[in-house]
Amino acid sequence: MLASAWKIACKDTKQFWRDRTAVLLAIALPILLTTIFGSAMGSMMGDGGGAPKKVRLWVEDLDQSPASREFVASLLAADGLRVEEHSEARKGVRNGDVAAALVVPAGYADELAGGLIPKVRLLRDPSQFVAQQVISGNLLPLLAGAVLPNLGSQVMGSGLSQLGFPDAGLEQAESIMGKTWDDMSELVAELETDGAFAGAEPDSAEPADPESDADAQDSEGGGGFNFLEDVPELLGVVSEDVVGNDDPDDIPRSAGASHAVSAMAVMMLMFSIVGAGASLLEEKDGGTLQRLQLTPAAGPSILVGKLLTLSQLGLVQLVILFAYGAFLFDVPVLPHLGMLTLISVGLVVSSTGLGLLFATACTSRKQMEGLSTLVILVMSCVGGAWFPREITPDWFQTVGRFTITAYAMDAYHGVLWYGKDLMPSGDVDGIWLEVTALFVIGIVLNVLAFRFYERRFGRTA
Amino acid sequence: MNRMTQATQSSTLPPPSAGSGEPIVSVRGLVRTFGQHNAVDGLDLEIRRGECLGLLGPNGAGKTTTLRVLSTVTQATEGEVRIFGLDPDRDGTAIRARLGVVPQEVALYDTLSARENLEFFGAMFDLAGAVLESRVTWALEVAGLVDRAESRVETFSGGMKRRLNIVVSLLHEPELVFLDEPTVGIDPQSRNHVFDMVEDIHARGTTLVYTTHQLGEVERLCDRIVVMDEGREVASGTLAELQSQSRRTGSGLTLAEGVDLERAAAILKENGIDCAVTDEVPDLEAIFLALTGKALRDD
Repeated sequence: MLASAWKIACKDTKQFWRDRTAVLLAIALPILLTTIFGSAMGSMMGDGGGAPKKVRLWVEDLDQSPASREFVASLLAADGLRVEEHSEARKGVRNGDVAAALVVPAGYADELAGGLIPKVRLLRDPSQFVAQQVISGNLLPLLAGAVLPNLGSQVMGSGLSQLGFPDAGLEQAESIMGKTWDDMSELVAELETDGAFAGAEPDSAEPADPESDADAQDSEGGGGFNFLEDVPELLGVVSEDVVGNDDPDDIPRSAGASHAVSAMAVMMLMFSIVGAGASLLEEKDGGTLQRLQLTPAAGPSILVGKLLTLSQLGLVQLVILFAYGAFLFDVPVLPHLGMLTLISVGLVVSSTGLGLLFATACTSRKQMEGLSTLVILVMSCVGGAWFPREITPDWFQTVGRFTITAYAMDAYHGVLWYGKDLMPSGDVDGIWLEVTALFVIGIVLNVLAFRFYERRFGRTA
Repeated sequence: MNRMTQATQSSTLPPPSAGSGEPIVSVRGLVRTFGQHNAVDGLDLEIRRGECLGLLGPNGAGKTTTLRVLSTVTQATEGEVRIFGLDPDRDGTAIRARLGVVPQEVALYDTLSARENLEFFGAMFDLAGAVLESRVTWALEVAGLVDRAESRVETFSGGMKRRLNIVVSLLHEPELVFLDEPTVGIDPQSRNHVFDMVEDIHARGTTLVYTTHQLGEVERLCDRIVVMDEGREVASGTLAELQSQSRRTGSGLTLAEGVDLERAAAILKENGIDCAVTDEVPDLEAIFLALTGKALRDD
């Protein structure tokens, strides 16, 4: 029995290695995806040398004084952030161009000279919560060390006490605030492990700055100490979420749901449409394509028929998915029905073109399945369907810009999260570029598909 | 042993039993090239209205390519092709509307029922309403599938699929039908049913072109036979004509009329040439092998 089993195993192995599609799916695809994932995750967690990816922070200097320029210069020289000066910081955050922006207000130098802690405004897009953590973590030492070297220790001492920082660590905190941020982080982690935060209550419920009342509350709804939220406030940072709804607790859920529904819609639509496009190859293998070619309606009408089928399937799938997202996750579908329909049609056109191109260019269904799986997964990964492109390496983002996934994700997320319309309105950009790109890509792919069809299945074939 | 044949007594060919009408397909110097290979290499062919033409040839002879060109699916590289007097390059749609092609492989939608397949393909030929319904009913009856009309094709036997495969191509009552090996892989009962179907549509005046490797089918069904090899016609005529031609040319010896065969044979034998006089009529297979040789053809 073992001899027979061994012969069968040998035969199967030989067949496997001769099946290029199977080899591609079993070996090349995992290697490729591991490379992409590794690059993205490595960038998020540290690129091997321990340095995390530099998240972009825009800074807008409205004061333009020597003091403000010095502050901006210290930001630009920061190691952990990629700080860029822009004149329309709010618009940038509002449109999702950057996760956060710091606005240095007019009068900054005067307040500093008067011994006050100057207020700087941190404009945030709360949907990019990973980037927010990185920005806060890097901004604090800059503020404490570079901007307020003389006030840092004093302010921290009273401020921390107000916010409920435990007495047990207060003296130590004051002493190390002048040193490095890493020491402070370690102390907080140590106190958290010891449970010292649990019994601590703030000395006063009055926030340091009434203007940022909402921001002074941590996400767990109460008077506990939130390091990354509360400490910046002590250093004069007034945080403002410029995107999202009125319920701060609901923001991560809303942003996540919008991203998840968009991502699933884009990825699964491409899989289903490309899969359905394989029916052309099924018809070829089954002989029915030739039979159709023998009817008076032969020629492009066969491919147009396939295009209509795929489009209809894609639209039905998108309607169901977005309806489900609206029902289960309160994704704001109804207020944006027109724009979502337009994007969906563009996505369906481009995905259909991709599906038909695969179907007309590949020689067998098996080949098509292997190649399309590879392309769709890679596009989904680099196009932002699996994780936000903002946190990925630059080359990753550049590649992503050439994918259907990226344009569709940007358009859907732009509408659902940033409330964008087709054309720009006020501070809010339009998504006309993304929608146009989807249609242009769709038209190009469909034209190519028709060319391939004519070459492979037409009368000249 | 060589077979000595005698020249035909008359140069006048017997008229075909059918197909004496005007040519509805006319092919002159047809060439179809794939890369460096000429699949069809200068073919001249005429198909007359109402005849059943058997198109024979070994694998790779160019039969299927010829049918694809005549079906307007493939473009000729060179030559002139007219079908119903129309040019396939310009009038493909009009030609296909009057043409029926039964493909060699069963080409049906497995997940659709017999009726749904018929309705779909009928609709593709612009049949609709009561006309479509009556043609579907006719097709189901002819194919012997009335009881299985609503069953999915995937549940059918090979013979049932073959029968349905044929009637799908006849729904729109084509004037000219190409049948490409329509009886491959079916049992004798189904084959006989197919023969009846073919004879029936032929009797209605439909022009048929029948390709097969089953030479007995051609002997039974066809009025005229064209044998192709290496992209060209190597012989054509009725079965009787081919037999006659084979008898004339089989030994490579042609005798003048009035020669005494027995005496001629005796003279040949005296000179050491082994021969015999026979009245044996070669069958189509013998003619076919004589014309195309016995070497294996692997496409």
